[in-house]
Amino acid sequence: MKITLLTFWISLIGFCASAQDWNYYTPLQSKGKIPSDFTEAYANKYKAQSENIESDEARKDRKQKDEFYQRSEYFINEYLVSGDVLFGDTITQYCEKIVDILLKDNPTLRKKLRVYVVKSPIVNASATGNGIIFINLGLIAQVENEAQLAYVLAHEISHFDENHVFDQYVEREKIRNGEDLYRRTSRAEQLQALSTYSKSHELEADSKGLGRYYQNSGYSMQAPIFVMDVLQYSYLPFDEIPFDKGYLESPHLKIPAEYLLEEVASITANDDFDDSESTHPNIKKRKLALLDLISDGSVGKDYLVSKDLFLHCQRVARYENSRLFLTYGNYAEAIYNTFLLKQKYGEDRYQRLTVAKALAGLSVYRNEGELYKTVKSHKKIEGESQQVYYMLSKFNKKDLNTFAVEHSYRLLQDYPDDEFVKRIFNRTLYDLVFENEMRPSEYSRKAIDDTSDVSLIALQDSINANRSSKIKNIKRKRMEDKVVSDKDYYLYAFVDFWQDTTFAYRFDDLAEKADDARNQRDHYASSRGRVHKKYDKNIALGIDKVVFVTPNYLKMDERAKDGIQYLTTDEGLTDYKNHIQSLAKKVNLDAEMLDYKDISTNDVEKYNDISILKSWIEERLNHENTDAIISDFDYVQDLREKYNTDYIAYTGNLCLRVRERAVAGRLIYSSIVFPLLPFTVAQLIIPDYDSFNYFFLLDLRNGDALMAEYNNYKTGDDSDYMKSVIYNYLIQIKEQPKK
Amino acid sequence: MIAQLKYLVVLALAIPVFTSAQKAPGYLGKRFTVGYDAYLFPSFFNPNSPNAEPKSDGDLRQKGVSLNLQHNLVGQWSFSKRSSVVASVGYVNTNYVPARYDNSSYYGFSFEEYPSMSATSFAAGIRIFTQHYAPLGKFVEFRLGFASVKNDDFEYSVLVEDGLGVRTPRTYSVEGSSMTWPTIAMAFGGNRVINDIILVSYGLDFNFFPGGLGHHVNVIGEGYTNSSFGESREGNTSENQESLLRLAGARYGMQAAVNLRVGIGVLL
Repeated sequence: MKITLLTFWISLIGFCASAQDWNYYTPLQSKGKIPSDFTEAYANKYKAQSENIESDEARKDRKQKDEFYQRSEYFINEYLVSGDVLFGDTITQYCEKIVDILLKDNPTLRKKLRVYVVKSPIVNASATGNGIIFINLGLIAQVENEAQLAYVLAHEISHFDENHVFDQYVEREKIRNGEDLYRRTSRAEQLQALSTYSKSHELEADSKGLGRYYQNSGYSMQAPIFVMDVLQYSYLPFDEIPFDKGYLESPHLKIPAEYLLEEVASITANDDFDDSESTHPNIKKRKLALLDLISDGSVGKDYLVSKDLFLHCQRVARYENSRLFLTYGNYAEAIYNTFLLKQKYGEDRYQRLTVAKALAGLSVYRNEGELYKTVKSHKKIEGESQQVYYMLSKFNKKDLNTFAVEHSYRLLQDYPDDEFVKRIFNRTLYDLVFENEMRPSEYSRKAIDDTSDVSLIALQDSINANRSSKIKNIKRKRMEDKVVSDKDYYLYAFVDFWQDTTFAYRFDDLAEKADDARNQRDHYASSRGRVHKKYDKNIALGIDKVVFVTPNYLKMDERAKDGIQYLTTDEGLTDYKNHIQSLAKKVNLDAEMLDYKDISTNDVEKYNDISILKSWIEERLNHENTDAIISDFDYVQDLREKYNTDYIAYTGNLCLRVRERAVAGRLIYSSIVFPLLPFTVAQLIIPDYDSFNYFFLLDLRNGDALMAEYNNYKTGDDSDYMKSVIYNYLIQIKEQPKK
Repeated sequence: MIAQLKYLVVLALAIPVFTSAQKAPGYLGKRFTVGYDAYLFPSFFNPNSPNAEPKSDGDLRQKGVSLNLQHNLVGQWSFSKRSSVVASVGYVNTNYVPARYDNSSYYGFSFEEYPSMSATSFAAGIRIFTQHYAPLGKFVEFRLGFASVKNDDFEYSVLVEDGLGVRTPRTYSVEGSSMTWPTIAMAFGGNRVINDIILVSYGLDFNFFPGGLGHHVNVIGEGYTNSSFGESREGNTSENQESLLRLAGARYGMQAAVNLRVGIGVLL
């Protein structure tokens, strides 16, 4: 314990001494030795758990426990290696320290528990049956103090100590099988029963967490009540501050008033909501139950570990959430969250870069007419952030793209050597020229309040005073057209930039290229016609090295009670990776495998690399065919050099054994048309599959999907089939393209 | 006819090869396979042995069950991701029923051994793989080709009545001959690979050989043929030779009609 304390305080001092550079905030990373929860193979974990099943238990109970361990260990394992779980970082250590305090009188229980932080903006925490407590960053970002976090941890400890996860599994099985009290119950009654059972566990965890671990810890007794308010409003951002449109504006680029709501939707969260179908009791019931227990009025502290450390962790969580919103493509949330960061902590480069990334992403989606995919309808949003959703929905292609260019270039002016900022600017300007076909001449050189145009019209009128009505009117109309109307407000965006030769040169250069390209395209279209890709055609990329990131594998059996074949899935993944490695050698392709399931205790660097790459891949795949900038692009640049390749592969296989359909009908039919009988019998005997394999080869430099292959096939995953499929991917990567 | 057929076969082989513009993965880069396929099917009404019983007059249609077997050497070359060209040479050596036995003209007709015959075939075509990359997994196949059927000399005896009404057996020998007809085939099957080198093949093969059409003894149902073996008392006449050859052709046509295919090959 002393060593643990010493380590903690040393790392705390380290944190204080080397304060985070918020301008260059980097994604949260795990630190230290990798816990065995991450490195131990699933099969071993399952085996270790199943050895705890007492042999003198009833056969049915043993079977149920075995199924539970098989299932729960699988899903916990998959969650741990999802790339979203952190260990050894400041926030995790902080949470561990709080658990130390809560369980200072219960060392046996303390030894069984491990806390990990999850990179998720959702306000949540959970406990598993094997002693892991997951705390989401969303929760850290929103709780008001350390005591509230401590109470949540106490609640989760209670779930584990009371074995709620297993009990719920047993109850769910009973309900599903219609056992005991659930005989002849309707589906609605079953759901109701499960909900009631779950709620009883939540109330028990509330009360026992408070009584057993929290009450004597020294933390404030107000916190359990107050944290319920935090939970009630957890669907809202971490603060409710009216959105100031000036946040996105510049001196010459103002957001039109009609782009904003006069009034945002009020917050409807109610502490006495109907919880009849919920897994948790409503907030009012939980508060009342807690108030009964806290009637002694004892007073504690809001902070026992460190207020500074709490505030630091909370800031990290909030910064990280902005990044997470970007990676999920939730640009509106990213902008509002970052707006809140500015209000709370002051502006920095990271925040401005986040907004630049968000605007760049939004602009791409808007240009492709798919903004609805990334910005939810403002009608579904409550509170101050609704303003952002509404405003984004009002932008058209050109003004949104102009905002993206303006914002990124203004950032570039402040950070002229920043390659990442430069890249966003180049991309947004490229889209403005090529997608929206805007040219420098279309943007005003004068500010919107410059009255020279109006004066010019007056001058023109006086000159033409003696001209015919027709001529006078034509000349006046043409002059008026030059004066920009309200809807063209964004044409003043670059007024400040024209003096800057870099901007003007870049814009002119792109415009010239766009004109040339358009001429060539027209020529090509008229002379050659459309080019059709051959069906099923292979490509040749001539790539020498690829990094394979966390291949996926899943074996399922539609006929089984629990569809996933847990143990054979694990074996299938091992075979799949071996096939990749051996076939890569065969085609002389350097294939490096980065998989959580292959790492050892000291591979934390590799663990973090995988985490960044996986997040990058997921974001890229979420964009589907939309050519949006991958927001994490600045974090993968070092990895390109480290692994000496620009290419990563993401692949997986699902092997689904399907149930035979219409067996009786087919047999009867075949009996009538009897020559078909042998074939029908053969068909019924031979297993049917509906399998699926995918392979993506992605370019880390720009997110291009060089290969995006999907293969559906009606066979199992025997090695010859798998090898054939994988080989075809690999030769396409390796083969040199024809000159 | 044969010349036209050869042209068709060459065309069938050449078109996919020359139109192939894409890289074919084959199986781990191996695109060529050679192998042996056995075409098997139970024979209910046709003999597969010269000594099958009975072979004298009376109802000779019940021959007992035996196994038809045709040997095939098969080569296939995957020219695209989903297709292969395939060529096969087949050989059958079997026996056939020489006559309709309830015909009074065969009175006393008997023979020691069923007449033997052989058939050599060549076919070429294309296999379309429906699930995996050629040459793996399920496929549909179309072939064009020709088969040459040859029957051997056939010895038999009939009872000949002299002027006194005494019947004595007289032995005749009809000389064998051969004929060639085009074939058209369709197959459904699958290929699997063992240890990245052995190709196991299986499936059903349907082959249409028109030679001897109308003279056949059915494959499954109780057969009936209205074909007679010429005039038995005239021996080695050209009519009798032709008649026997047509029966042999019909026998081959029935054997080739439907088969279960089991094969083994090597990936090169």
